[in-house]
Amino acid sequence: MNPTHIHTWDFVDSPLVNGRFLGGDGLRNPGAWVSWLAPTPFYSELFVNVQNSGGGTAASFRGGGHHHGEEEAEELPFAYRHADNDRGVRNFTDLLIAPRYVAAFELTDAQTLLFGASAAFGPNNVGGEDAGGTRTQLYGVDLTWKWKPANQSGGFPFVSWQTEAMWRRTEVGAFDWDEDGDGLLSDGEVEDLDTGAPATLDAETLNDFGFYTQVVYGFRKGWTAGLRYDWLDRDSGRYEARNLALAGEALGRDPLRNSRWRLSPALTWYPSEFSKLRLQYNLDDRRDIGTDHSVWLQFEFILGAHAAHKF
Amino acid sequence: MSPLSSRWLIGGVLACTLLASFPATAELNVVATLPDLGSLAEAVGGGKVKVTSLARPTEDAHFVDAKPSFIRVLNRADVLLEGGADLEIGWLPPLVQAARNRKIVPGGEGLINAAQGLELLGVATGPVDRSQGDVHGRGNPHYLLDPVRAGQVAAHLAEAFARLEPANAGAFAAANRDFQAALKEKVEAWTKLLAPHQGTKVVTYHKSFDYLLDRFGLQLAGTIEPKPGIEPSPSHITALIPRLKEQGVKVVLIEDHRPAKTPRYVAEQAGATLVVLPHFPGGHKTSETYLEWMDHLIGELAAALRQP
Repeated sequence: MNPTHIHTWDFVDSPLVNGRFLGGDGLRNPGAWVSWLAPTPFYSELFVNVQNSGGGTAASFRGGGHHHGEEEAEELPFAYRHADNDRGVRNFTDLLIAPRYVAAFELTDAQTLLFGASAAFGPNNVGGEDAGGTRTQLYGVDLTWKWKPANQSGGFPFVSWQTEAMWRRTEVGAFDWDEDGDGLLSDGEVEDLDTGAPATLDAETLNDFGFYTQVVYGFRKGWTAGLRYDWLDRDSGRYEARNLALAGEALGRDPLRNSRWRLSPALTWYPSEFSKLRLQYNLDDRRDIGTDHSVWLQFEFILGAHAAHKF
Repeated sequence: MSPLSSRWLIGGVLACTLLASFPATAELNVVATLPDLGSLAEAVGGGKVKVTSLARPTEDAHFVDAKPSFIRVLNRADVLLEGGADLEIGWLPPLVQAARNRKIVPGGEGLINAAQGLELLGVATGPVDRSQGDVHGRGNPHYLLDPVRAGQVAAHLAEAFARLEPANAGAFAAANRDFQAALKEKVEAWTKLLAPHQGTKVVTYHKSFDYLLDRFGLQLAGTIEPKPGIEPSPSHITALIPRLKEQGVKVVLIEDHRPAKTPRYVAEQAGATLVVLPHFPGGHKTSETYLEWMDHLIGELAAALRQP
């Protein structure tokens, strides 16, 4: 999903797991990649991407702290501790390394199965009292099945089923909320309710998981119906079990890591290859926040020449 | 086993591997984007080329899925044979880029543009924009429906194959001579078959049969789609039907992948016959080669035109 452009998405929004782990704009920083087409009897390719680990397009790494699509992001940072790392790329360990392996099989003349396994390794900037030595590991597997009959006309009909699962392991550094150093609780500082003083958070390792599965059916030329299910969960961190509060309000589970699921049916009409009209409903359930219902109407048209699309 | 004999064993294994990867009878590995181009490559290959066509013969060539397996096929190609008039523009470029085969990239020695040197119909004279639909600025790409142009393409292919594989130049030249002779005979027969229908007006779905009509003196009275690549609207259809009646159109001609519902309705309303034709060789049991395909196509068309 990560390499696709927004206008090729089958839904109004990106899957939750991509938004949480890769950021709303995807993981895409300046960098370099190499790839190797394996001499196997089926398509099989290995990619290795090396990029800068900072900036707004490297969520989960040093670009963390600002998460699109997570409305409560303004309240408290990830793992209840500020990001603290303004270094540029100085040495090899500052780089983000992302290998990916893809294999594809033609099951029949009309069916293709694509399997991918990806990972990303790099430093993050969560906590940072211990000089930013913390790192993130991201692992993912994805499976795409596509059916397009031998007499397709205009690219229709088709059925495409796509599933992606990810696991993120984040080391977070220790963090002292006494930011002004006076030892007393000040505005904007997280309080340890057991002591009444600014909280001191220990370093720990956090595990988050998520997946989505979606099916899109192009039932007649220019029309698609899609259904997507998103799911996010995590192992609760030790900091979440602490007796903490911000501005008198007790803190519980971290909203940036809390479990959430969403069900999204969508209907899209493409009047031409360069425009689309989409109606989507989201049933969004966030633990500790509740269930939201939303309806989206999207209209899009592309100006100018447009390059060909990949599979 | 002594150290010496194990070294010999390794040497032997290596030699076998090398032999296996460079077979003595070098066959030119030709990948054609479309089955009609593939059929011509087959015809002039004289059994000395291995031809793979990417698009399936029954599918819409404008919208072929860029399957990952094509990357592997293109990676091993000696020759990439493309239409050269933007028909494959929606799916071919990223495949060629991903295949990282120097022979077939733009400027590569193995990239053959079949349209090179051909005079195409419908070449844009002014600026091309979206208001004209999905129009191909370089000209109408469905040129292999003209057997005379197909003959020119075949000759061009035989020369290109000879340049790439000089050892088999004689075989390519001989196969081309045979093909040209058979084609000449066929063109005479087809011309005779369609001669009584000179000037007859037909309707097609897309501008895919223009070259066939142009070659045999038939006239295009209109298309079911209002502009290339744009779905027919009810208002276009209701305006089209009286025009067809007025002009006495006898045949509505569509490719086999098109949904037949609207064309059938138009044909019924206008008192014409709907003819569904395979748009590529290989899409019909009795039309595997280029000549069989054209035979089938022209036979069906002539039969429909003969009806009172």
